[in-house]
Amino acid sequence: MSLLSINAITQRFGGITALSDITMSVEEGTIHGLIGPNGAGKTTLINILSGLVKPSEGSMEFNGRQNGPWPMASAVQYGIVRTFQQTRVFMGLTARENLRIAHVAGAGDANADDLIEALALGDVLDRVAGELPYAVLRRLSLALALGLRPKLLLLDEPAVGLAPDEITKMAEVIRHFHGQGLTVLLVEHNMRFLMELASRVSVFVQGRLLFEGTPAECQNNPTVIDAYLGRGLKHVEH
Amino acid sequence: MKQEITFRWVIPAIVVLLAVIGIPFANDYLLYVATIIVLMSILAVSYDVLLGLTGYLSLAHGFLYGVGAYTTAYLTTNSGWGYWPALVASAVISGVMGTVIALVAFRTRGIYFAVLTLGIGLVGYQLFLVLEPITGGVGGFIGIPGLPSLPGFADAPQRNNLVIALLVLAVAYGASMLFLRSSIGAACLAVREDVVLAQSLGIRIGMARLCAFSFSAVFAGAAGSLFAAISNFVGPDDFSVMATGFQTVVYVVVGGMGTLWGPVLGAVLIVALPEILRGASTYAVFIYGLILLFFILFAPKGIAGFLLAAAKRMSRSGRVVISKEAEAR
Repeated sequence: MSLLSINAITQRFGGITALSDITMSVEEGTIHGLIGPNGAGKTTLINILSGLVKPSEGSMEFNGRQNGPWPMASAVQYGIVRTFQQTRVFMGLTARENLRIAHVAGAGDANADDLIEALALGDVLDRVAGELPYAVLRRLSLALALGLRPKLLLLDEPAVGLAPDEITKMAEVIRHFHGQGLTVLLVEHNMRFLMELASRVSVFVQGRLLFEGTPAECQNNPTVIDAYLGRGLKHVEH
Repeated sequence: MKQEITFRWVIPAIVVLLAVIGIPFANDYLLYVATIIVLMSILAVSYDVLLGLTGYLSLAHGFLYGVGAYTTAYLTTNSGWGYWPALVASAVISGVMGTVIALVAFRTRGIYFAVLTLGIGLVGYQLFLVLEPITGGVGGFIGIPGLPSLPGFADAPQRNNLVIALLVLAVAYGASMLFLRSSIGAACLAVREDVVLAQSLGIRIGMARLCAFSFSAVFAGAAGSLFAAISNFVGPDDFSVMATGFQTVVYVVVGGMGTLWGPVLGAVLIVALPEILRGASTYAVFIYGLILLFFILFAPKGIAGFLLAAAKRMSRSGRVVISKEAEAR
């Protein structure tokens, strides 16, 4: 069953078409990967789905609700939450204040405890975010999003800049919350990370949807290999 | 963070302690200066909810302070209202006026917001001048009844004024703390730190900013109401952008934005300074200017930032001493 249906979304910035007639869907309870070279329109799509940018054309349906995309506040209310490619947390506030803002750290909120434990934030709660290491900031930014208890989480390159062991931890966290019923649309350049997590993958090239299928199908598709993956990628077992 | 929470309670405790010790013995001059400090503290604390929590610089607060003052002046002098209902009405009318201003002003941001509110402050000042039947025009409003006496203070009007002003400050401070801790307060902090991230977390930034502006307007009106009753006279010059509008910004910036207690210290310093420098009146403005320069250049987080850094250093050095003692054992 589709949680998200994207219908013929096009996005133009002046004379540049960043997304062209994108139609795709994300099934409920899945991790759906979104890959493609830089400039393919992946982040633009995330911006549209989350309400940051209004598309030039097209619409979306989410969880039975029609006439999207919606403004950001409404999108969050309906259960669509995003993270950013560049780490974005409230740098001048403590981790605890960050979580409070995301309505997480309310007294007795079991979800907050679960989040703090799953994301290993317990030791840094009273430290100002601006002083925290990069990997912790990435986890904190994920905690802000997860704290809103989304139905659909739009993850924009969560593994970027992380060391291999931190990438493994990040994958565990995503699996943990996916196991609790979270649907994820995952944009990522780290193919091993993405292919291990996703059950379905969409490939964007120059603003168009080039291919959609399972990770195995994607890695064996000559068009995708030529356009993006290249011949050097080892097959990643799903 | 822990130090800041401590200061949030320590500073009010010191104010109460000074009041308890000082009020019975101070002369009328000291009591009057202390009352003005408390009035400006009410204005500063409530203004900090806007500037400190959302980062929006309004120069219209002198006007809102004036709306509160003229409302009380009119209601108590011409309409026969008692002071307490007039105080509430002044706060409400300023709050409504603030909400209307906010709805217009928040269509802009940054420097444009500041300039737009400057324009509103200037227009407001002119309104106080030209609406003579209500405001008394250039001559102002005279013969405003004083504050009602609290039990035990009937023979000491200056002490009575100071105690009432302190009570209103306590209400303003408590309400500001509650605002800061509320979900709207958290939303305001988010807006100040990162608007896009705040939006992405579902925060309705327009509503958060509007609430902060309206809240600060309510207490600006209450401060104005007290001012009218305490001084028994209000004139337009008390509420000009140059007099009150900028001065309020200075209290908050010098005191330390976003702390609530810092602006109280800012108001203490800025109001008390001219009185302290009376003996050297030739140099008073020069010294005042130097102090402002000092804070902007060397202590941009204001008195609060200075005290917090000192407390942090002391706390660290205390921990080092304890750990060295533990090692020695």
